[in-house]
Amino acid sequence: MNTTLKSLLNLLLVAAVSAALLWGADTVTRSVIAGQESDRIKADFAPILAAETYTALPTAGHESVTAAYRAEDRDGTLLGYAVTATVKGYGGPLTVYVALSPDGERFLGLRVGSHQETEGYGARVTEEAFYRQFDSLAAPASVGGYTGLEDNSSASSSGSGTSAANWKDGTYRAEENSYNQGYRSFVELTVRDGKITAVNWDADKEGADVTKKQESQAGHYVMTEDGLLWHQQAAAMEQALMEAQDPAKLIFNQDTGKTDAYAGVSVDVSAFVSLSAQALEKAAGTGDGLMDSAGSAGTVDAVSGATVSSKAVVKAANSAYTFVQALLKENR
Amino acid sequence: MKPVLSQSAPHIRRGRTTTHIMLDVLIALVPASIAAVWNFGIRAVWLLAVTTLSCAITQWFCLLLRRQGEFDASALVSGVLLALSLPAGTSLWAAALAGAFSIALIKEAFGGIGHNLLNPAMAARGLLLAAFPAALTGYIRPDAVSSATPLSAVDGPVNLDGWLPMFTGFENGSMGETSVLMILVGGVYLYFKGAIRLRMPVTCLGAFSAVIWIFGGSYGWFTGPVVPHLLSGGLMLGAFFMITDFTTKPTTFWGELVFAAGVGILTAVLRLWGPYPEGVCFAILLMNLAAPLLEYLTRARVYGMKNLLGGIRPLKRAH
Repeated sequence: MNTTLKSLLNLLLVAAVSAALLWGADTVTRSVIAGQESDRIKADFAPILAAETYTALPTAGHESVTAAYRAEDRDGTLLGYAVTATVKGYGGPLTVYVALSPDGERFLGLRVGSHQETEGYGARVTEEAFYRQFDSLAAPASVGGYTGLEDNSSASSSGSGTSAANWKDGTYRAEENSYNQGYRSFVELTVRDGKITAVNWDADKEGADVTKKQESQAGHYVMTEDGLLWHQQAAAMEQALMEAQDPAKLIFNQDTGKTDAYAGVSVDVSAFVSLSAQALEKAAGTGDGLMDSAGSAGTVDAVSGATVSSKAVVKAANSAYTFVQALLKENR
Repeated sequence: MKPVLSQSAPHIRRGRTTTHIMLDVLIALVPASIAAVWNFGIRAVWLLAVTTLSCAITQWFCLLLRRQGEFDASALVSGVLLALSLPAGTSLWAAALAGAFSIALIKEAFGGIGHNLLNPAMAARGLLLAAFPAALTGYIRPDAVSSATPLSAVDGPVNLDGWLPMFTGFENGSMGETSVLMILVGGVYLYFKGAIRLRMPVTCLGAFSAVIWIFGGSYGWFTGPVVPHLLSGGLMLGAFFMITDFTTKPTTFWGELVFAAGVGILTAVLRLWGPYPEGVCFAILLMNLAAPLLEYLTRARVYGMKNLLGGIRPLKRAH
């Protein structure tokens, strides 16, 4: 036989056998993994759902939601929805297993899975007393006015209306009472149709007719050799606020004022957040009310000493709620 | 009549010289090099040029010193293989140093082509890994954003559906390791040219896959993610271009199989339990060192003598 032809047949044979072996091993492996996966899901949700079968639901496009299942009992009756949500906790990623009622309006319960919260503080969100608050709680949940929902208007549609709706059009300014290290921060907000449309975070320099932004742009205010300049960081925070539409939703460490939720931002952002909140209070024409806009949300008490972690759990629970709402709307 | 392939002398001389074979290997490396240039741009061109030149100049210089031997394309092959086994962001001086090291100390110091104990390209990569690890961490994505290579992320559950980009090559990794497809094209060319036999790559990849499948899963035994592991890292380049290097592998049938399987198993073991994400380089070097022993154990047996795997054992002296 022709050598080339023989080589070709040889090659095809080897390729075919390899492909068959790979395909076979892949199939076997997938079924083994699927079996173990379903055991694991059952174990994860066992304390909050007594379901027999979990059917996976597509979660693409839902931030924070990493897995979701229809939970049914032995007879195929829908017991509810099981959702795994992973959010940013205080110490790192925080995974929460959330069970929602079939109509998606009530939490059946939740459990915190893997987390890196501080022992004795943030880690106390794994205590039974905190969990119990979510049993049969009306969704969405809120803790100290915080819901973590991206779009307040749709989340609490049945509620009393958010603070955003109370904002009157105009530009509002809030500034610090005194100079701090030579600068006095201020925030200017423009509201149009109930939305924040422009934000300016800057600081007046003591004894000079120039602002921090102008100095930074001119290259006179340099913090480190690398990294973003001050005016760039300020712009990043302004952008973040316009996206969040609520200073309470900006993520930062309450103790240090630092944040790692926004790329390149290394400065203390606490003044920005509080000044923005003050400016919005002016927009709402009230001195308070901004933080108490929970609407119909089921209120949860934060674990003391673990505000950030409690908020993270609530955010996870509410992403699960949002996911199920979207799912039900789609199926309706 | 079935042709008889003799492994021991006498051999028929043909016009096919070492240079011809080395040119074939170079041609076979063209697709992978093109993929590297396509993915990494001018950096890849520079790296290829620097290592190849460094190897060629070193060989020329060594031959001058030794006053024997002739220039063949083997140094170029070592240079290209070295470039392809390095991350595109490797600093050029380190690459040049490694190239010179591979030819001067690994190849020529042992007596030139045909006498070296270790694969020059792998030895040079090993040197960089051990001595200048920082120079090697410049993994650049094709879109110039640096990130972890898929292999460092392959720990834990792996999405088996994302294998196609790994196969075609738009993934992070060393230059020539990214496009499995292009390496296979080169391998098939070598196979048709008669420069390699399929048994070595197949044994190597088979043994590797078996170990990964059995032990590499995060869901217990027999659940390892074989496909992503096969498609990532320098395994394919090693299986088709490194372990088939005539000089550093055993020449016997069983020797080749044990050698190839050893590389596959060691690579899998080093990947699963070793400190580095990749183990191909050290696996090949270790098996290179074992090659003379394997050859000794598996040499054609002399008629009338019994022994393990057909190897030679001294006769019992008659008293």
